[in-house]
Amino acid sequence: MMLSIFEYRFMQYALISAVMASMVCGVIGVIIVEKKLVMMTGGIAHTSYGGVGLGYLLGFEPILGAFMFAVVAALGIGTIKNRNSGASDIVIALFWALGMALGIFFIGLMPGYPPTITTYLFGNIISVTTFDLILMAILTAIVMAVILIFFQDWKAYLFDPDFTKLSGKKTGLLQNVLLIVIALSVVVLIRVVGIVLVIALLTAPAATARLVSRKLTSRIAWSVLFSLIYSVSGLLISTGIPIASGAVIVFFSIFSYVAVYIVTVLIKKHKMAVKKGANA
Amino acid sequence: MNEPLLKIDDLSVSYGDIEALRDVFLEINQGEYVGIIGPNGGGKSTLMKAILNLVPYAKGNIACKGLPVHKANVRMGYVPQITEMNRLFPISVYEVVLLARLPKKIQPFFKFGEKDRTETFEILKKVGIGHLATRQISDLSGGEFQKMLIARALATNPEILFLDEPTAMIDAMYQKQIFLLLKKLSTEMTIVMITHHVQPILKQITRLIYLDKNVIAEGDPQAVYSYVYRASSPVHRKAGMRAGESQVNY
Repeated sequence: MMLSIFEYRFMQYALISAVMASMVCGVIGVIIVEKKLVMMTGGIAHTSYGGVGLGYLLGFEPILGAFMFAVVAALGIGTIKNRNSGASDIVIALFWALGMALGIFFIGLMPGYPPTITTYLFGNIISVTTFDLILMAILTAIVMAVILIFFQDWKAYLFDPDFTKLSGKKTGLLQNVLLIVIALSVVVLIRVVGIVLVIALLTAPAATARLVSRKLTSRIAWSVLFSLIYSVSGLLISTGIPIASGAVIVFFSIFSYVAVYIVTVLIKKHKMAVKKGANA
Repeated sequence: MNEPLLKIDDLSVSYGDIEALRDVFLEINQGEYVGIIGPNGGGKSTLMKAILNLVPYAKGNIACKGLPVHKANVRMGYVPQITEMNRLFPISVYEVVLLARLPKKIQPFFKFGEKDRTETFEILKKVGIGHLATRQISDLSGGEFQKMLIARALATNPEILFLDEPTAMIDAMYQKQIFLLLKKLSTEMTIVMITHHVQPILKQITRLIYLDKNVIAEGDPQAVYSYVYRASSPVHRKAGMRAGESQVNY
């Protein structure tokens, strides 16, 4: 009965978007969480709002504007952070605020208020267009290829960039590629959960995977699976209630994380009690 | 006369307005086992990182066998401070050491060969943590983690081994084991080690350097240690026997 809604084209597009977003979230989310780049990712996502505003103002696809701004923000934050690591929080905050302010400024220059702007801010997976889908497919393919093809190098770099540099690898190149890949991931997710909620979908599945897995590859696999469950469940739930799909997906992600957390704590306690009983 | 393995000329390093090293001159010869001591903030780690090209330097020159470090083609192993490591990263002991054998160039779909895998196990056994190979690093004690970092450095087959406080935050038993291991390794390679626990190895090391922004004293380990101990006493500190006075050679 419920599956019959997937006969509609917009729901098919939404489902395909959810699958692509889950792949990106699974891989990049784990990297962001392990590398402690969550706030930087938030900064990149919010800066992209400036590009959305510029797109509306100049009449080109807003998602392309978001793409350009996200890449510039990623490289800008990375470069300044390298030169002065102590100021990285400040730099992220400045990019974050500047991007939002530019978005508001560009929208303010328009004669009216674009009605679809909220889909970029808060996401609306069922409004994904063919163009969005093609762009998402290209970006997802790039992100997955870059990470999976050079997986051993990424593993070494993520664990210890200094040692990787010492062994002769171009860690500056690896860092810049990673930042660009994060920016591309943000763009993939904007249509699903929106700029404001991108961080949630990049962190919640990876954080849940962290609770159930201790190896990098299996953590990535779990993260993809959780992300898929969250996105599709959120999408299905949102069809029955008048709330934006992005918000429902994020609610579902965070509640699921808390539920898995409680279950893992209870299992640990149970195991300890059994062990204690056996020793007594 | 033989070219020194490492020659540091007039090296100065700053972090913004903070001066970490000032006008450092130093030579390290092949086969030496050098200890570096000094106060916190005295520039010991910065000196090591400058040699390894991990921090940029404002002034001076570092040469390895007469060539700039990046052109010298001398393999350098590095054991960083344990506090700089992400000990919760989801990776096994075996993987950490194996990754040290990655080729210099970034290669698509790279797979390690049988030789890399076998030698990785041999190194883990040599360092005494063969039984921990499949463990996740988050399960390791401080001492086990340090041994893993030493194994990783050895996996690069280094000619010079740099260690930054390898016995910090670990118990006496592991300290002893690590010092014994380094004593053994010192017959195979040049070792430069920063440590706050120098007393137990005064007879093992060939030279001791006391660094506080620049080289304050260097030479015979026992003599330098006695000098530093005296200089650190309140009476001598008052008299100004600290950073800034002319270098003492023993």
